[in-house]
Amino acid sequence: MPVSSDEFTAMNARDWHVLMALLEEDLHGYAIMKAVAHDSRGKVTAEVGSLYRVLDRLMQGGMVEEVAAPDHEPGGSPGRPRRYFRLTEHGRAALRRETVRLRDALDLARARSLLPEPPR
Amino acid sequence: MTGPDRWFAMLLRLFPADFRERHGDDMRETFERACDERRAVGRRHLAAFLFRTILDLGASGLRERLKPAGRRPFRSRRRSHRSLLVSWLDVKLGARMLRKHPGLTLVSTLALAVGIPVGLAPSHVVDGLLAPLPVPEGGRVRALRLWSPRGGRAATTTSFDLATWRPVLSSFEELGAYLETAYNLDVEGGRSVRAAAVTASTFDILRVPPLLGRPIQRPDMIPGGADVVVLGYDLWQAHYGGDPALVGRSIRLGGIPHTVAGVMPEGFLFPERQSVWTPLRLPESDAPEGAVPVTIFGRLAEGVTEASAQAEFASVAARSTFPGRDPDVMPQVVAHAYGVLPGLSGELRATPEFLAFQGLAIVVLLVACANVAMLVFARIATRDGELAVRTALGASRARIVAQVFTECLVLAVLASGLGLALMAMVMDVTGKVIPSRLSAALPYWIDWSIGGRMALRGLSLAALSAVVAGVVPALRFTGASVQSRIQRARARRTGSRFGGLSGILIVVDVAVAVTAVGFAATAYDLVRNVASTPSTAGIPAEEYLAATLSLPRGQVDVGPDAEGRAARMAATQREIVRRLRAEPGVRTVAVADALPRMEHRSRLVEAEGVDPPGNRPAVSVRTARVDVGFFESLGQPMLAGRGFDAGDLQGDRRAVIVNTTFVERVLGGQSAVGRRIRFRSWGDGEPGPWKEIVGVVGHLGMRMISARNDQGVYEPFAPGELASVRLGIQVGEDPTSFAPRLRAMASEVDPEAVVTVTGALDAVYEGDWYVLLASSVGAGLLVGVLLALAASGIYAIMSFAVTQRTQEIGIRAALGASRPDLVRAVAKRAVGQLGAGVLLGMPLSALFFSSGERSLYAGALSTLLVGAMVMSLVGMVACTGPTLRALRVSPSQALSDPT
Repeated sequence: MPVSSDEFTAMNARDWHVLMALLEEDLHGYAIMKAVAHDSRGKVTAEVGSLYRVLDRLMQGGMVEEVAAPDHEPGGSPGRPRRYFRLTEHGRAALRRETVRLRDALDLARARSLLPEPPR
Repeated sequence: MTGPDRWFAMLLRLFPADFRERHGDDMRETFERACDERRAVGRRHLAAFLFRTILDLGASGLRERLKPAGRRPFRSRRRSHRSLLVSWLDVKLGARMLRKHPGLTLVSTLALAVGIPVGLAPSHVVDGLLAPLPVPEGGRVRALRLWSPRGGRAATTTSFDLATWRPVLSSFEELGAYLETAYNLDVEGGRSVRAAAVTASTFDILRVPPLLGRPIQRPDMIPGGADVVVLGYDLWQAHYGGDPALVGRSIRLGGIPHTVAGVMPEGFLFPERQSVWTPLRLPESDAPEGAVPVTIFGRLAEGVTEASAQAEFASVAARSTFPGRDPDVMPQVVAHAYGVLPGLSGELRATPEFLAFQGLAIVVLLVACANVAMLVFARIATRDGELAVRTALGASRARIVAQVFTECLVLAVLASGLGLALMAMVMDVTGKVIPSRLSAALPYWIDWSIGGRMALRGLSLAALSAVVAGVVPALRFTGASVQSRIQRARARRTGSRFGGLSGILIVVDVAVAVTAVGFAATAYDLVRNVASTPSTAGIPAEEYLAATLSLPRGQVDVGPDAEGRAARMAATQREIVRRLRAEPGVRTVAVADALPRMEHRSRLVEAEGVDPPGNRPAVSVRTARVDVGFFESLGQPMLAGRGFDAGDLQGDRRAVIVNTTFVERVLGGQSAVGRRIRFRSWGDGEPGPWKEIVGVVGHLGMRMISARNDQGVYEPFAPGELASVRLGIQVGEDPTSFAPRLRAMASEVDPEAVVTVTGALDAVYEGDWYVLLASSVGAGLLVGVLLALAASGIYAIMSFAVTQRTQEIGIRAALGASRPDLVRAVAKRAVGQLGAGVLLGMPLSALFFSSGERSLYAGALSTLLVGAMVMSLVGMVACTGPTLRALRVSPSQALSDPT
């Protein structure tokens, strides 16, 4: 059941990082897990159970879709190709919207001197 | 499949089936890759990862299950506010359900009413023991002690420590000290009283003003000053008729006149259960040598936390050590109880014993919960149709789970209340049943009453029980799709089955019940046996008066004059024994540190040339120090070798006598006389010198239970070597009537000698006996509950077997199956579980009994058989109802049911 991106009020950090991990390339579960930990410098973790709950939810929301493994990838368990996940257009829009919200928040925090201006 | 893979697969089952279908394989593969990579980095990384994964799978799985059906993937602004899952209606519905199924309610309530108090008991016992003193802000009165890890008890603190710490410790308003002692009170018939020599600061620290007169004051502490005494309320009432004019008058305490300075209010029995306080007179010298051993305590200063007081005390105590003190002692600021009980290691709640005790108690509670869960599951199954319809009408899964949870919560709260009431009643009865001597020995601050805190804890355990017993079965039950449940409901049958877990649970219930029946019967036998034993190992115990003789400490003997004290004790003991022997009516007098039937001290012994069993360096034995004529006085002949003589008290003291059990068990039945043994300490310390066995006696009973089974070693002692000795005086019938004469005799010899009469030797109950009494009562209670649980479990399983197989039974009957065939078909599973439980229970308890002491548990096998029979009978009764129901199924009715 796709969700309109307007309906999206707050994306939690784990959702955001999972979508971000898929921005440039399709990844399988374990690669997403590592990317989330790496991109967030370990501050956000997605253990197996949580990761697949997030993926399940994002898939149901139409933001992520399942794709076949690329040709160079040997695949997972025998008889069953490894699943890869891809960011959909809808997901990309939601990610952009959330990121813009974060940027606006950052700008506000800088304007009110909560955070320093970035070095130029 | 490796270990982690296996439990990953198991934990994966926490997720709903459709979720597993979608992602299970992928999740497993991701987990395996992550494991491989962590394994390559190191075991610690792997362990940390596994730990995180367990927690994560548990939480995610449950959240996924509780997710309302059809919930939108993201929170929307349009979400309605129906988050209050538990309503008053559920509570009412829960109460109605309890009434509707009285049998189930009764069994479940009973199970939790026992399980919850058992779960609460360990921390309740510790809380009561560590309760603050019943004085204003009693929690701020703390003991200061030096814990010796090597000795396993607190090292002795002295007046030197008090003098050193007092001026520098700023965390305490004031420090005080006390020394426990006893006096003879010169009243009608004589009486020994527990007393404490205390510093004047004690009363400031405790902030309890006297009821009459004044407390001990500083001038009273000056050596050589007038002797004053402050009396306790009960003593004042009992012996002086509550006469207010007593203050200022003189009473004789330990034969010496003391002026009564004041009377303390009712209930003040500081430090343990004392009713007389005298000034503590400290030596003038500040040297560590010759200082008086005292217990030190103080009141934390305003605004000072225990942690900062602890830090300051640690640094102060480290600076004030001296040669001769164990350098490894740990300074501790602790609850008052730890000061009074120096053998209690600090932080009682962190000790492995306590944790094991608490863990076991929680396991008992969980087993009770698991049983109730099974019954709840059975009950939900009968409401399959109702729940399916509710779901179809829009009730979310969480809503239904919440409803079942509330029903269980109502039950658990009821059970918790009942359990606490039961606990209060048991304590009340125990307080009345156990001899007043024991209850009078309990420290006065101990508070085991059941108050608000306990009720709160009971409620939290009730909530936990409701989660285990309600939420788990509800989740399991609501797992199936709405459609299939409605179909099942239309077919008027239940599609739910008991899992393998319920079968295991019943087998375990039955096994434990069989063991418990055996244990309870054996323990009861032992209690009856001990209580009715007229004599101990051939000694006519009912003719002996048991009493303790000692000299008061503190006021009479402050200072370094230990030798003088020993000489005085020696003279007193010799003279009293001499007079007793000359007394008409007294046949013999035995003197020792413990008399037969009493608890004797345990020590480790190593025998020369004998390898103890199990490659341990030494064996545990019971020991006693006895006077030279001890065995003759008890009419015990030497079975080999010789008795002790005066020569054994000279020189290096090498002679010991052992009992026949020692010869059998430690020496393997070989000739004992002439062999050598030595004592070892419990730690790694050096063993003592070798001693020679000079004689062998029979077993005289070195503890109450299993008197015949204690290997014992006797050593001689000379008068004056023990600060307090036990006298066994053979006077014939009604030995207690001799007590006043004994007291009078003692005060003629030494007015300060304290005689505490224990009673007739055959009425001495100590240590093990109480443990035995408590365990037989506890086991009896447990048996009842387990029997009820097992029976109800079997009943539930049978009922469901019959309900589920109505059609099958009908078809079989139509095809001409005989009634015995039908009974067999229905009861097979329950009987199998019953049999498995009995078969498992019997060897288990046999194992349990054989690790005990064989000869006394000879009756165990027969009681075990009785246990097995009782259990089988109960199981059969539980089977009867459902089986009869199965036989009443008519073929036409069964076949007309729609499928």
